[in-house]
Amino acid sequence: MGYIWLIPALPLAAFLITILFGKWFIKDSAHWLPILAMAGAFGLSVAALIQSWGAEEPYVLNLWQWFTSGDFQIPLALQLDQLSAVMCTTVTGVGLLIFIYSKGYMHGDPGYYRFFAYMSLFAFSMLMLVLAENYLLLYFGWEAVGLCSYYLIGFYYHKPSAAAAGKKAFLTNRVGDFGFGLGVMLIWTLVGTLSYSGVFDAVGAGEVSDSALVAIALLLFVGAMGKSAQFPLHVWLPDAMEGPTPVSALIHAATMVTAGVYMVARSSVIFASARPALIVVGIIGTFTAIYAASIGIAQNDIKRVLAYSTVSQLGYMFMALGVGAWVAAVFHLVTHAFFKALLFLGSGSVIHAMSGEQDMRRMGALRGKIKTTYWTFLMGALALSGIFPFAGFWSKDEILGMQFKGGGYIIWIVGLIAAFITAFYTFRAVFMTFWGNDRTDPEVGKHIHESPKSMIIPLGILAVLSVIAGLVIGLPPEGGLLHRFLEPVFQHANEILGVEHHGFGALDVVLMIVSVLVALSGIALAYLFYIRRPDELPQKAGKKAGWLYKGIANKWYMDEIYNVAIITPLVEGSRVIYKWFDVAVIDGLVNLAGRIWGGFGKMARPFQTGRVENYALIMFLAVVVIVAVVVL
Amino acid sequence: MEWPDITSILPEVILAVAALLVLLVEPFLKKDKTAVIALALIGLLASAVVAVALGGNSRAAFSGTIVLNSYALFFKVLFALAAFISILMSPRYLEASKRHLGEYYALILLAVIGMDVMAAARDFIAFYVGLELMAMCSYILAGFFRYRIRSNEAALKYFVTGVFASAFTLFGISLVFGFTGTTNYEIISSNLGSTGNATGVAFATALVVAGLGFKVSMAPFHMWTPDVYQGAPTTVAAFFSVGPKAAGFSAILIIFTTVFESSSEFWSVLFMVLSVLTMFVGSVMAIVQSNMKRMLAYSSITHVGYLLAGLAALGRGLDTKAGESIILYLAAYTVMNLGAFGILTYLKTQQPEGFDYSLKSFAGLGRRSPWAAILLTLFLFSLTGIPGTAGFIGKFYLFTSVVRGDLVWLAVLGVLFSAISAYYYLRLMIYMFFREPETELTVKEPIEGTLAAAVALSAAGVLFLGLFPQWIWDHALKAFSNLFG
Repeated sequence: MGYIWLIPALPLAAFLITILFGKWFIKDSAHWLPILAMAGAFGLSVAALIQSWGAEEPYVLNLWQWFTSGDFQIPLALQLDQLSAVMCTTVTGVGLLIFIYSKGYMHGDPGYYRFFAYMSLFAFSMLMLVLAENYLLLYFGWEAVGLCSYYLIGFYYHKPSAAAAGKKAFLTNRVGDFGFGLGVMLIWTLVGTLSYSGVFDAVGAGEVSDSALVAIALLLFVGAMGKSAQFPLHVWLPDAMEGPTPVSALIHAATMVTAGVYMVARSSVIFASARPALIVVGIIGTFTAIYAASIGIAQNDIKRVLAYSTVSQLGYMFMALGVGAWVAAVFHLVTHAFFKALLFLGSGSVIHAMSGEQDMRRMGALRGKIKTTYWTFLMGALALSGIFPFAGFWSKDEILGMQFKGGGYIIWIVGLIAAFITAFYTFRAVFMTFWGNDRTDPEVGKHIHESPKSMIIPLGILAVLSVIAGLVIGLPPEGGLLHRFLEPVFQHANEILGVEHHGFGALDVVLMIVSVLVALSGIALAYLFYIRRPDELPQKAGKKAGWLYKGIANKWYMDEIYNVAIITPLVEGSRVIYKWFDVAVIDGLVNLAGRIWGGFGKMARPFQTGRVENYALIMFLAVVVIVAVVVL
Repeated sequence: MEWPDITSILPEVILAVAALLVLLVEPFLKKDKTAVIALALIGLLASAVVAVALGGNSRAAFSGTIVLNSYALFFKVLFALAAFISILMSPRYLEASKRHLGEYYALILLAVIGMDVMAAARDFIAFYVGLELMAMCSYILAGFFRYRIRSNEAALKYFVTGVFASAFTLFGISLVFGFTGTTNYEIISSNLGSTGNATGVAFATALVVAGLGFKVSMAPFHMWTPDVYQGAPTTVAAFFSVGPKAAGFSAILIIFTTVFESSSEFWSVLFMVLSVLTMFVGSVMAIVQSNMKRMLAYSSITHVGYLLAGLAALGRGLDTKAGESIILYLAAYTVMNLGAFGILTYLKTQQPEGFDYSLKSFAGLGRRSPWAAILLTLFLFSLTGIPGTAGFIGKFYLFTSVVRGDLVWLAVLGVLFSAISAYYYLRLMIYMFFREPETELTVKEPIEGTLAAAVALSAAGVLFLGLFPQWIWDHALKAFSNLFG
């Protein structure tokens, strides 16, 4: 399997060539190379996936040792095990489809080559992240995907809101990354190595104290919260929708935001040995799931609905991780990648048809006009709502089922309510966009057209995957293909946790029926609200539950809270500090240092007279001084 | 009569032949100097190749006064590389300055012979001959633009102070000879400690430090450096900034670890003091410069300060790997500094009149010629010590060795001075990318010809050493394990 280095290397090569020659030479054919590179990486990932079947130990490929100094080593080593194989295949597969889609979507954009270059760089970084063999390289990939995300959110950098969104994402992620970085450093200090196998062996052998493990796990999780947009570090993700839609699909739905989930799953041994941290993970995840879902109800921008839904679904994944349901989390990660990418690309197709309109209040009755987009979008919506037998149903139900069977009834109920809300806001979006009255601007209405083939084909493939993926890899629940495949990866963590394996039984069927009913009632309510009586019910509900609606519509005032609690004090505080401390003390000191330094310079300058006899004199005096010191 | 075995000086013989051929061919050429340039480059390449081929087994010649072992080999290749890059960047520049003469190349080759001998000598007489050969060539090269007052001034200053420094060196050597009755390093090394005259030995040590310190521009023997760099042709300054420095350190390393082994406690302390002084003077003065050639001169002094910290660690007699780190640092420093000077050369070639090396003349370079700006940024990053570049690796190993020598305070100081150096390096980048030029300069020619090759070679070196440092480290380990061979 020595070829796995090619998986990240191909997109990297595509990036380098595109960024160097794109502007002058490649121009409008900039999509070819990245698409081919992605296709190659996908092919190799599938090969790796097949080859890693049943392997007991991860395959490690040492590429090179950057440098060594004593114990300190910086190795560039890749690791392929079942988990990284699944991640690679998902990233490259969904990535390939999105690259193809982008060919149509970004057509004619002045930054065409730049877009494909950054997307390739992102693919490289993400693949390095999942193929890393140690925390240092993981950290590298982690920072690199963050950087690409920043570039791509701010892709339309001349738009102030896009530039601001990029900045917000970057700064919020800094908070998380800071925690992550501390966690990695703590591992290094306590264990003395950063390679996965070394760290996990040490943890398994009980070399690290429990409290230290909890600290490590919590710090790592802070990083995951930033990257995977968990409450309260989720605020950047909805704003990130300022980027082009394929970016939202690939980076802010299917792959990068799942890095946190991947990292926690990768560190399952650490988290399993740190129970308190695991509980925190579960609680944060559960809260985020319902919290973000509730906000999704009141969003009118089609992409923002999906953004909050992403935050909420990521919450489900952490909810699963919180009870050690590692495989269920990965399962949901994979199916979510399919149907959320589909929904984003579908929304992109809608936006494309509507000449850039994103507000659902100015859409409606589109299902007859853009049929393929409608049908594929509907598949995605059904999968997201968790309707049998779509992909999302199997993965979400497995997560909820494991909560119930593990005795976490409260979490189960919260998750169920979130599922109800999910179905509601998803179909609210479907109905507002595709059904009901035509509220489009007549000017826009004239130009409505179905998207080109390069956009429709990826939609079709993703729609098929959203329908069947769950059936293929997740059946029967808790014992499906994916479970058997990933077993060696999580064996150790499961032994530590003592997770019981539940057989498939009548209870599962009951739970399934309950969750399908919940989802259906969510859809029904949406139908009632937005199709049957769209003119009175939403307003009525808004009035009846005034505070609730207000809270939801204002995203629970999270941005405002940040403003009041963090940003304003920070800015005001900085102003005070600036005035009294910076100007007076620091500037004073710096100026003093500068003056001292300048003074030194002035003192030294007269010696540099340019007169050669002075130079000789100084040399002579220096020797005299040295000799004098020796002799005396 | 028995012929002496010349295999161990074969690389130098090749260089000498090449130099003489250059001088022979030169008069027959008109404007086109391609033939002599090719001769010089082939000569350098051949000498390096032969050195590598012969360097496999250590050999000594001329009664052990000259050796060819992995240590000498390392430096021979390094000197050849430095000269190679310097020659590559010269032709267009000399043409633009209207002084394109063949003896320029011959002088560089002859200087390289001198440097080679310095690294290969295991005897004071041979060493001194190498030193003077290098020095004489340098004096002439500094004054190569003999119609320019600045160039003349540079040559004269270099010469006068250089002779003064040589006198110190000779005085020190003669003292050692007086104590031990020999000039052979190995024999001195075993006898000098038992002379019982510690003060006398320290005195001799101090004199040799002063003499060699001049060559590597160690404070307070550095004062010629900025004047000479500024006055000398830029390509010559580029060569001076790396070649003679590395040669000086190659001699210092060997002389101080063998001849003056017995006084290592003394010279370790001496180098500590001089290191701090050199770093200090270099950075203080670099900050106040507005001429970038002078800034690079002072920055090179700061780099010498770091290297001296390594020497201080070397004298502690611990397992510091300081010698190896110094060798590695010299290699990293060679490529990055040559690269930076290469870009200056390019800019001067573009505008012989308009460009005056002032900070202001860099304004807007990022837009005017992005490649030059990007490459200069790379070299400045490396000089600052940003990870991924040769400079980072060099500093990492060097300061690690200083820490291993129980001189944490000195390593901290070194890192602090590197932080200060970021100021004067990054300032240049700010001018290149964020300042509008006062007068719009129209030149937009890309870097081309041999100059492009020189800069590309330096950039490749910077990145290669920065990303794959293990290779050079292995060679440094091998080189330093085998001083006498």
